[in-house]
Amino acid sequence: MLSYEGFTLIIMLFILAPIMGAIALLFLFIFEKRIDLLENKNKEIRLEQALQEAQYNKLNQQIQPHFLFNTLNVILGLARLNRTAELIRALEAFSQFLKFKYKASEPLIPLSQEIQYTQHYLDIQTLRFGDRLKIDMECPEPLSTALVPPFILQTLVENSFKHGLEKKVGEALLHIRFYLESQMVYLEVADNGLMGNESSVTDDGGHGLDNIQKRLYLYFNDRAQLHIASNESGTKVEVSWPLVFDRKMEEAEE
Amino acid sequence: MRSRTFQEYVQGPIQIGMGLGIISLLARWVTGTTILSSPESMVKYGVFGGIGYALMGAIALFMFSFIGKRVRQDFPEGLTIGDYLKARLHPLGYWILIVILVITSLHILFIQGMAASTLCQFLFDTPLYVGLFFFFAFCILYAGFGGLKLIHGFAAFQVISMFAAVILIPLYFFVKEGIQPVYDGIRLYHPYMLVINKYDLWSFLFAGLLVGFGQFFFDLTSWQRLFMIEMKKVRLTFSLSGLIWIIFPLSFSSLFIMVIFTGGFTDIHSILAGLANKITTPFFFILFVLCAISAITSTFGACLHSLVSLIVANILEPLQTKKSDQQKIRMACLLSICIGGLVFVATLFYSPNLLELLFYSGNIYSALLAPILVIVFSKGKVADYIPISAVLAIVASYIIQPHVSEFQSIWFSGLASLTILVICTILTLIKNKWRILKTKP
Repeated sequence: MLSYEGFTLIIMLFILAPIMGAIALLFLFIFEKRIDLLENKNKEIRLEQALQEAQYNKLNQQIQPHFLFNTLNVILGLARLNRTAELIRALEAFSQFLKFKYKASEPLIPLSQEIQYTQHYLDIQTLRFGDRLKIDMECPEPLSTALVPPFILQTLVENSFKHGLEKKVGEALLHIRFYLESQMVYLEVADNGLMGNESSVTDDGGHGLDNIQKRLYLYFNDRAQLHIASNESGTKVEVSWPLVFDRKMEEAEE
Repeated sequence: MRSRTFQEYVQGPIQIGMGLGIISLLARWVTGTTILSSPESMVKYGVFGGIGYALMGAIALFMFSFIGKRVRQDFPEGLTIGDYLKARLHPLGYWILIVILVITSLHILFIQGMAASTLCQFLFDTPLYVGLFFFFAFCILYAGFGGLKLIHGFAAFQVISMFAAVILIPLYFFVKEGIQPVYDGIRLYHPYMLVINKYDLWSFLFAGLLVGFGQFFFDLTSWQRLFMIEMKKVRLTFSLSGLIWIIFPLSFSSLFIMVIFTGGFTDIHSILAGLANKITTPFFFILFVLCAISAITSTFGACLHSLVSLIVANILEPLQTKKSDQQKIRMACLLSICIGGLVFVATLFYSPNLLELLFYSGNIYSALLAPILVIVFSKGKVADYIPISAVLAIVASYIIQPHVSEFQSIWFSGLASLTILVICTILTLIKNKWRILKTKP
């Protein structure tokens, strides 16, 4: 036999269940559209991200043949001048350069990797310029694991040679400096070459600085900056982007 | 409000979401039977009989969500259950199930007609046929002529009025009377209702589950709604509908407890009269009447619309191809008048007990349960013996019905179709193995 307490509980269930059901249905009616909207927005954002990633990878891939083309021209110059010993060393450096490969799918790479990659190019240029070229590179140790969009340093260095140092008579100075300030990584590439009449920041192929700007914007939006200043004493390019570290690498280090 | 295409007439202009899906399913499944049968099961099988009745329906709707998901994965586009059966069955099996579907749908319409007749007798002093005529005319106009757009337009209002009644009326009564006097009254006049382990409660629940599952899984309207709900929301819509549906029988049962605690009663109709005497406040009386009319008209309308859609799309179309959409809609309107008229006449001349009527068709639903599960969860076209097993089980159960109890015939029916299916499947497997062995050199 059902007790009074049991009966009361059942009656309470009978009374409260419809109220709860109505609330549930009301909630569904009010929030279903909003939940759908949020879901669609989320999907839209993911699609946009995928598109940006695709654009970014495309830009990354565009710049590599451009860099190779310039390096090959350097080697060709050495061959034309019959500087065989330098040519051999240049080819050795070039083979090292080719041996080194970026992971194509990585949107950001450690700074140390970028420096190492650029170093091969600088080795080739050192052979060409000989003692005339003085390179000064500063990179604080903690920054070597910071992440950077690939080919940034390399493109700036390459531009310094192409638009400034190539035409420089006498000592060619290249100053590369990385530093950290307010959680932003700064890169300064300064040379004592002459820009001449070139006013555009983009190079002949439409890549170079323009490519860097686009990639920085795709990845960091307005938080990344690129400034170029050129005068009679040389050209200085300054790039800044937010400090990002690879979590996996950090964990491995810990 | 006139539909431009037949598809729009059947499915509405757009796919519906969870909210409207639940409203639509509640409009279909909160029926005249729910109002009258759930208190009746409480009276017959105790308080837990009422709760069991509610649970059976809720579980069945919840389980249908699994079937629904599977069906939409296998067959994403469709108008009616007929389209799905056509894709999954050979012609013989297809026509067998279509005939059963038409019969069961007519039966549901008849039950709603009976509920409407009870309500008309209770409300009006006029001859029965006058009230019933207005009821049928209204349903034919809004569901048969208006199509799904109008059905959903009314469904929102119908469900709101049902919710208002089931929330406010029991709350008002129990606050007014208190629980103690009700408990004392039930103990005095109907102590059998407080008995927890009634010997036939479990028989009722088990048979009810078989009937409930069969009825929910083989319902034209539920299948039609299944094809119009957004695919990713199918499962959640049906599950939540089950969960929300449960409150209606529970609330109606509590209403009837309020009526009978002060004395005895002769039958379910006398309880209805007792309720009218109890609800002295005009607002609550109007609310209750509105709720009852909403429940009956929404179910009748939804079932009538699904039945005419099935007949036009799956019975007449294969016979008369090249019909334009407008011709199909006109045919659907004409059919709704014919079916409505048929049920109107049947309701006027026949009046069995509602719960008996529900269980009278129990044999059919119980026999259909195993075949429909096999059809949904097997791959490719299924053999004809699957629908035939349902027919054999139905026939066998009606043959033995005079010699056994109602519940036993329901169990027998379900068990018979399952047994036939198992035997036929084993025989087919043996036959296939034998054929492979014979072809091997």
